[in-house]
Amino acid sequence: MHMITDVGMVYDVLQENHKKARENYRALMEHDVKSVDFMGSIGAGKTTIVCELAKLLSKRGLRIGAIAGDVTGRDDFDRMVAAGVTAVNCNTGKECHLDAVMVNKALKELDLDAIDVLFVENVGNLVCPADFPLGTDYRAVVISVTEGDDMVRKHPDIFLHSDVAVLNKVGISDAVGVDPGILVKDYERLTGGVKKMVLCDAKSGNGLEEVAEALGLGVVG
Amino acid sequence: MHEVSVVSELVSAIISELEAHEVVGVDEVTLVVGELTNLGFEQMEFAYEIVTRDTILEGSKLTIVAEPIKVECLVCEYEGPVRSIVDDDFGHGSIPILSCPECGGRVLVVEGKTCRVGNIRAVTA
Repeated sequence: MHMITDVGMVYDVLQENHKKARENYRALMEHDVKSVDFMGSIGAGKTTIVCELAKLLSKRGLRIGAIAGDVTGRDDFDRMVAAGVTAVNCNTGKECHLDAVMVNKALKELDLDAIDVLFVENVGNLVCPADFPLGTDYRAVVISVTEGDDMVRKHPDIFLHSDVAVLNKVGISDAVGVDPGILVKDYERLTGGVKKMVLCDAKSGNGLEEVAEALGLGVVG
Repeated sequence: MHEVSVVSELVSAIISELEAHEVVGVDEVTLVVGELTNLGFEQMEFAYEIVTRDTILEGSKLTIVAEPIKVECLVCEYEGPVRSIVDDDFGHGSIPILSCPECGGRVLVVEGKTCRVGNIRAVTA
């Protein structure tokens, strides 16, 4: 005769990622590397921000490393290398986000003693990366005015899961008919006013200093 | 979007766990999923049906229990649920506000991010 039994097990699939993320965090900390995970929409300017921040910070003597996360290809990786960044290309194949295991493998390809700051550029996506912390000091989400003034309302979760929100391409707000103030206000409502959105124009360099500041990479920090 | 990969990993873990027991079938699997994850329950149910095909879990019932959000305030020691934005311009359902409902300070999320196996009702010989 068949019997019904309850089988208990301790397994949390997201915690498995978090465990690996903690491992990454410790490795980065041991080597005194400051780190940022750049999540954000497709075409918001994540790569431009990584490259321009890298140029700004390397003028101050900081050595920059990066992990270029993409579903496929080496476009971002090539741009980072051209900007003087020590980069590792990380193609996810099919996945819509980087996870801590992929980053763990990529970290092994980097000499952590030879860099001071690590930028991880996630796959362009405003949903999935939120569930997968990578073990960086900061999680930043990048959007730009070209995506419209409703991005915060449409994707609240990723803003809730990140430490810093960056609004890029503000210089062309008028041309695309978007009021940055709406995005700023939505973000403040969402975070209960605890956090402020950082506005910039990565290509011209406007606001880049404020982005560095918000990520703990400012002149003082 | 990542429900299939998450459910696949859970299913593989459950199957390995069941190998240690003398199980001939499974009636029901209960998962506990945090309200602060981006996992859609309907998509998970669909993924479960697909990835359990031709396994010992085929045909078993999937029950997903939502784990509510619980935070600890880093400023005033408040512990409990958060307030939500419920007005229409923030779309479907309610969106949690991740700051302290008492003092407005920064909070640490202590519950609501899980995606774990709660229980397996297995059939033994």
